[in-house]
Amino acid sequence: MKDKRYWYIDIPDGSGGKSRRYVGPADDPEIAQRVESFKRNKDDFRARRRMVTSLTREGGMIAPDAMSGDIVEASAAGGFFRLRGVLIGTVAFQTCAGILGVRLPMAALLTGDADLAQDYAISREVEDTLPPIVELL
Amino acid sequence: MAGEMLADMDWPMHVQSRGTVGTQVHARAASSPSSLFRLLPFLKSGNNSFGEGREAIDLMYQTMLAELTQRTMDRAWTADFPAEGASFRRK
Repeated sequence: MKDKRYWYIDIPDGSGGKSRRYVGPADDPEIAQRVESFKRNKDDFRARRRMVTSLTREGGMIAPDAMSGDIVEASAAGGFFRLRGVLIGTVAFQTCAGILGVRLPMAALLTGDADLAQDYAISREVEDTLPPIVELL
Repeated sequence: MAGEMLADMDWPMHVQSRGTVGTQVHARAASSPSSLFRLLPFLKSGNNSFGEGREAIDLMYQTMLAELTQRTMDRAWTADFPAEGASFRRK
């Protein structure tokens, strides 16, 4: 409507562009509260990204390569860790640097794969499953 | 001691595998999943050469990692279980 303001949120579409989603009227207190909450979450996300940058560039901790990181992130978003999945192998070992407080040799740890382990009996017992792994990736 | 722990972590695996460009992904099933954290007392004990000659990570960064871990886990919890939901116990 003319002279009325509305909230929209731009969300990355995964291919470099953005898709715009309507949230609601700006003068609705509930919508304003949700948008404020979204902004707080966004600020927290940015702060955490900065912390990761500091830890890997200056702190001596090791980040996985981009592909492995994307795979672990997609698995986490799909509920892999909620269903008691665990990281094993190289990516799991990389986390030891921070836990043990020692710098690990970077070259020996860049194998470019992500190993994941899960006991399927847990999914069966709690009647909850991951989406097909191909869809997650 | 470490040998026993590592042997214990040698689980049955290979349910399916999938290759992607530049990276191999192995989705594995474990009949008795253990935790990497079980090795930590041994690695920290000094009865090994793991930490020998390695430069320590500054305490400030270790503290930052602890805070990051906590904040990330809190966010993950909120994302998995929105406040609109309700909790209940079930046998």
